[in-house]
Order: sequence, then structure tokens, then C-alpha cells
Amino acid sequence: MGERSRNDPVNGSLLGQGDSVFEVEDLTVSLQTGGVDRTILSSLSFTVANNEFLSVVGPSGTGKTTLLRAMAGLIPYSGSIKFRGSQLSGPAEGVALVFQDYVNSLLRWRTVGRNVSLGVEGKLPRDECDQRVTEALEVVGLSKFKDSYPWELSGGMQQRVQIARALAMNPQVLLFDEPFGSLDAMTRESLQDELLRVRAHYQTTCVFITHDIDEAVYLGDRLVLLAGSPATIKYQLDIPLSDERNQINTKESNEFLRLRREVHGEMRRVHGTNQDEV
Amino acid sequence: MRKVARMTISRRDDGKGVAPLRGLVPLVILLAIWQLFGSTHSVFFPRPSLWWDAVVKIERSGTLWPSLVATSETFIEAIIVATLIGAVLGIAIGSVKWGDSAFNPVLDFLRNLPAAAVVPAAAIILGTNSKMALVIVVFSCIWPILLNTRAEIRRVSVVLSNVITNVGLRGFRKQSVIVGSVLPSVLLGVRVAAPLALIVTILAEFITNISGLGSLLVSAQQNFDSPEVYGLLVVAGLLALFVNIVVSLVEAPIVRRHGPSV
Repeated sequence: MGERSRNDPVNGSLLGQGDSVFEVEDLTVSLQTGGVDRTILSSLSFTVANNEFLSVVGPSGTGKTTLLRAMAGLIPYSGSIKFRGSQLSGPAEGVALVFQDYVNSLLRWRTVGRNVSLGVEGKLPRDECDQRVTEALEVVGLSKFKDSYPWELSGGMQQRVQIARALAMNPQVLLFDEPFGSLDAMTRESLQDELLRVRAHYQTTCVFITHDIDEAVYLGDRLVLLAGSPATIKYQLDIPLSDERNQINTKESNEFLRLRREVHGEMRRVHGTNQDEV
Repeated sequence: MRKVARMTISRRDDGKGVAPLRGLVPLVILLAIWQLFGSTHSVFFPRPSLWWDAVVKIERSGTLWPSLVATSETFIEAIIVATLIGAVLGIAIGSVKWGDSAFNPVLDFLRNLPAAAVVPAAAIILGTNSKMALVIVVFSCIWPILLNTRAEIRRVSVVLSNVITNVGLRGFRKQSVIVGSVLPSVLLGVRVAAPLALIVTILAEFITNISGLGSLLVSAQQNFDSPEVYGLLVVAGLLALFVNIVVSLVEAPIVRRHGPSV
């Protein structure tokens, strides 16, 4: 995990060290639900630094997914989202999404290899495309399953296929929408470690959405707490854990426990007031 | 894990084409009993051997095969047209938000309209010819395909369109991913639509007397030639069985590639 040090040269990115990949300012998103306009997110402002792992936590139904979809340029918004310095006005090139619903986001009739190539085929020369797929599958440990169909794999493996698909696109930013939310606890833990490893390998900026505080603290360099209706940022926290993390030592360390307690406390506080408001 | 999946597939492979044939055994036994105990002179229940003679007689007269071809032609063309139009409309209506509110009343009205009731109107507009039969058949068998496609596209559309946008698919690639994801549902619709299409094809031939299996049946009945009626009934049944087998054969490999349904 030493490769993950922040002093490493940036891979392929045009940005220098310390620049932000995302600058979100006064972001407000309203969506139509059941014929009624509802404000989901209200004037959020935050930045995502280059090569940073940002965890976004919040109770379910707060609008975390909406935030991610706005950052991927999938929905209209008001306010400002700057991606690598320029205003986001449509699907952003270089931003790859990993969805929670792996069953429907993988193409069932394509083999694992052909699923992973989905974002690069036709855009890159054939051999480079193959090379990207092979590398991405190797990184997530699915080389042997290139010719299997997604439905032949377990949930955890399918989620890894989705991560490989995102990686093959060689993105500057990976956006994760509760990717491990529907997996069992054991698979989730091993995928968390895998994600840290993959990220160290590719040195990609990550925004990771979850409602699991332990997961958010374990994975992140920084944490943003989203709550309320409409959702606002209630709290931000740096996570000064070392880059070398593992399920046992890190999660038993005093630092981890302190951070975890702090976020829990914060969550209880905002969630409590939130319920009073409603 | 993979082995288990493969096993289920191979089990599904077995007998898929054979099962309908094996299932015919009770029918064959019934016919044998009928043959043994039936009467040669019965107007209502002539022996099966007489049916055979009657069908051979029609075949000799040279009307059997052209009629079968005419019926099959209408039927196959109708299925193809209904599949294309049904899938395209299903995808279109299913993917727009206001699709339901805009089209539901019309679709509900049209799909509940009995095919037989449409025949006179279609005859006025198009005349009594095979083109009119085609329109009637398409009209009545398009609904399972259209509605099934629409339901599927609505189920997957949010995630799928996000995936398509995020990985940057455009043009033909985008369309092929959309079609690929609804293909099993389209085929399920075809499975339901195929027997319906055959029924309506023969019905259209009954009513309009354009050449085909239906008009042969009507003329046999009008001549009180009951062995011929029974014989043609068996021919129609065999055609339906054949259609079912062909549809299964086309559907099986595609559905298998999509894996067990979610």
C-alpha cells in the first residue's frame, strides 16, 4: 500500500499535486418524484482533491445517490460543479460510476470480458482494448472468469466485474454508489481491501457513498456527512489513518475507534434534529 | 459455483425439444381407442383412419399444400412484423416518462378489442385479401410483445440508461445494448403471441374465405364432410405444434445466454 503515498507522481492526470478534481459550490438538485418537484440537495459545497478518497455517509434516502449522479453529469443541477477546472454540463469523460445494482448494470448476455470492455470498445484500437480488459480483470482477480457470464458468478464477483469495467476506462475519478451495500459482511470486507489495493495500483481519485460508517472511515482519507431533507453537508472530517490499512489492526486501532465514535455521535445528533424537523 | 450453473443449463437443454412429442402419447392412445371402437358411418365421430383418407384426398386434389403455405406465410410475416413493431414501440413507450399516461388508455382500448370485431372494418379499408389478414393478425398478436417489452425496459431503464451514458455508448452500440437487454422479454412475448397469431390467421381465413387452412376447414364443414374436418383439424394442430417447437428452438439459446431470470 506504500505506492499509495500522496507524494507519488500523478498518473496521466493533467493536474498538479494538491489541485482539486471536483469543486462543488452551492450545488442544489431538484428532482420530480411522483409529479412533485422536490429539492433533494441544497447548496452543497465541497472539493475532492486529486488522488483523494472521499467517503460520503448519510442515512438512506438522503440523496447520496443523487449527488453522485449529479457529479457524473447524469442529471441537471443548479449551482456549480467543476470537474478538473471546467464546468460540468453533461456526462463527464473520465468519470466512471460503479452502481449498487450490479445485476442490472452488467449486461447479462455478454461475457465478463465483453462487459469489462464496454466502455472502451470502439474507442481504442483492438489490442489496446484487449490489454485494458486483461489488466483490469487481473487487478480485480477475475482473469480466469473472462469467458463466464455475469450470472454465473457470485454477487461479490459481479461487483468486481463492475469495478473492472470502470477501471478499464482508465478514469480520473471513480464514483461508487454503495457498491457493497447488497453484499454479505464477509464479501464486503474482502472487497473493501481489494478496493484499497486497486486504488493504490491505479492511483485514482475516489468518491465513495455508503451508509456504513465503519466502511466510510476504513476506506476514506476524508469523510463528508450528508443529512436532512433537503440534504446539506452537516459535517466534514479528515481521516488521518495510515495508508497501510487492514481489517483487524486498523479497525482495532484507537484512532479508528475514535473517528468512528465521532462520526456516530455526529450522525446521531443530525439525524435526531432531522427527525424533530419532520 | 460455475459447475452448478453449467449443470442447470445442461439439464434445461435435455428434453426441451422432446418434451412436447413425448406429451403426445395420451393423445395417440385416445386416437387408437377411437379407431378401434369408432363407427365408419358416424357423421359426428368418424374413425381416425377416415381422417387420414380425407387429408390424402385433399392432398391429391392439390389444395392442401398451397393452403398450408398461404396460412404459414400470413402467420410468419405477421409474427415478424409484430415482433419488430412491438419491440420498437415497447422500447419507445417504456423509455419515456410520460409514455404511460399518454398511451395507456389507447393501448388498453386497442388490446382489448376482439380481433374478429376488427375484421369487417379492415375488410372495408383493405378489401378481403391476404394483406388484410396480415394486418388483422399483426394487430391482435402485437400486444404481448409490446407490453412485455415495455415492462422490461421500464424495469431496467434507469440503471441501464445511467450505465449507457456513463460508459459513453452512442448510436449503434447504445441501441444494441438496449435491444440486447430486452431481447428475452421480446422473445417471451413472441412465445405468447405465436399461438395467438395462428388462431387469428385461421379465423381471418374463416371469415374472409381467402385461401388457407381456415377456408379449407370452412368448406369441409359446409359440405358436411366430417372426416375432412377432423383431418384438417389434425393438420392445424400439427402446424401449431411445429410453430411452438420452432419458437422454442430460436428462443432457447438466447435465453440461455441471458441466464436464469432475476
